[in-house]
Amino acid sequence: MDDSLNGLGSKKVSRKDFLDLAVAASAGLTAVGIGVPILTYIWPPLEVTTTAGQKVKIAGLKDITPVKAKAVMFNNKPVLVINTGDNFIALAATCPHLGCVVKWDEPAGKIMCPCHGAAFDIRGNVLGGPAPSPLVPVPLTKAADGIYLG
Amino acid sequence: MSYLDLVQPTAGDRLAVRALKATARFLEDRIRLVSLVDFLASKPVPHDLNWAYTLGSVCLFLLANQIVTGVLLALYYRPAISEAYESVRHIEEEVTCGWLVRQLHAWGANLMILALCFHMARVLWYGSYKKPREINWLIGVGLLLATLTFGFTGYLLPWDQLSYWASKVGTEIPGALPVIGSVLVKVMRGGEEITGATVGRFYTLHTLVLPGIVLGLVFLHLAIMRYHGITALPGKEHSRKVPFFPHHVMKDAISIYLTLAVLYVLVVVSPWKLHEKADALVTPEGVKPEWYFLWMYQFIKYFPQQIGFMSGKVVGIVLSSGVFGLLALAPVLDFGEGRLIQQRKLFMSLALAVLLGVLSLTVLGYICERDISLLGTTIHFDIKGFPEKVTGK
Ligand code: HEM
Ligand code: FES
Repeated sequence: MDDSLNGLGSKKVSRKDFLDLAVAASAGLTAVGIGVPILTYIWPPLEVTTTAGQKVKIAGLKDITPVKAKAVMFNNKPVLVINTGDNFIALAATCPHLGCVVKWDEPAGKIMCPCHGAAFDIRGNVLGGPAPSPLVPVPLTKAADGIYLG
Repeated sequence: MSYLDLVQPTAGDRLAVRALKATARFLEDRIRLVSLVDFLASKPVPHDLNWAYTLGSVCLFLLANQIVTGVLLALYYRPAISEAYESVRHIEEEVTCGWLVRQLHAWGANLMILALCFHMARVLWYGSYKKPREINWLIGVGLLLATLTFGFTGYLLPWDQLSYWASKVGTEIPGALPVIGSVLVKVMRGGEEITGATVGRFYTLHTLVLPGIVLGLVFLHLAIMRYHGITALPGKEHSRKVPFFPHHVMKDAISIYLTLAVLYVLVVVSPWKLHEKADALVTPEGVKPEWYFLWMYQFIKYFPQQIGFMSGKVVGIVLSSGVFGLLALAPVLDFGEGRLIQQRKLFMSLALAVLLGVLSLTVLGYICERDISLLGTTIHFDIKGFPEKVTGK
């Protein structure tokens, strides 16, 4: 066939090139078609926290005496609730270093991590050890009938 | 009647031999099975191969032990957090021989990693990864990584305090990597935390994915090894050859039976305890990973929070993973032709330095956060493994 008759200009796409491209494209499409559902399936779905946007009662007012603390599960995560004497504080209890659960050390007046010795003050600020960031506060409400998180 | 009369074949014997021969002929005619067995058994190997050359077969035996005991455990184990711990307790306490099967699996896993290290050390020592065997060495590194992943995923399954917290900290470590860290953690855990979703994932990896990968790699490993032939001892390339069966097979069998003996002694003398059931609110004191990850765990502890613009943890993780990179690159780093130690001084010194580093970190990882009593003195080692307080008693 004469090249000049080809509407695509001087560069003629041969039948073979076209088929090569078509085969490569369908192979790619098949790979995407198989891969996308697998990858999205592996990615965990949004966690259904029954308590999203909802306040949850975790203790009565008298359950945690000063200066004691209680560890509770909130939205699948451990939270440390401390009675400071004049107030209640709630902090995410997962140590920002490698994920151990911190403890309130009453005699020392500090929050300590049992794993690699990170220490925090009662507000969660880092005092020492390997923790790269402070403990994050969790919203807490003190109501007439008890303590609520969320 | 003489002794000879006793060993004269009877009519029954002759029939049995005829039946065997007919079966062999049947299989040979159709799938060439006799030729294949013959091919494998008659492989010529140097007559002077030493005991270190049986370590690969020891790995193979321990792998078989893991598969048999693993399949048996799967009959009673339940991969859900409401039942996992109880099902393991049930296996230990109520199932007939359940304790034996569980302990063989737990100890077998540890011995397998140890045997892999020794097998690798022998390949390294004799420079057996040199051309043309580089690819088989890489397959070996793949097997090592897969086996370590076996150990990591299996450790969570009993769902006791130790397994929960070791897995929590273990999955947290890659989370420090920039950008991909949080994605990795979420994919490994199947969510933000270690939950039933994590057990499901680890169980699937441990019982479906990894066995497939390892069996495939082992098949390739052995096929390539048969194809190349085993390396001779360095400097003894021209020593006399003998058929693989029965000469080397006998040696292999002796090593395997020795391993079996060690395995049974460990199972009986020092069984793995099932600790208290996992509690996501209480981290026990002195959480540590299994011994084969201790060196990495300990290494990361020596890094400060921040190094320049990078987190110290990340630097520690990257540097310690580098050991596997070095391992994979051994055939490149050790590029000379010679396999004798004196021809590989530089590389062998590097290998020795890395080995000593890993060993000392493992020891530090073991003694840290522990009281060690020696000659009436008790020394407490702190988190970094430094002796802290001495209490004379
Ligand atoms: C499931 C794990 C493994 C099994 C069952 C296995 C099995 C074997 C066997 C039976 C041999 C024959 C010679 C011998 O026993 O020394 C062998 C050779 C070899 N293995 Fe492994 N192995 C495993 C893991 C590894 C690892 C982790 C490495 C190194 C990273 C490795 C590297 C090699 C190499 C390079 C050879 C050839 C050595 C030569 O030709 O002299 N293998 N393996
Ligand atoms: S996990 Fe808390 S200090 Fe390491």
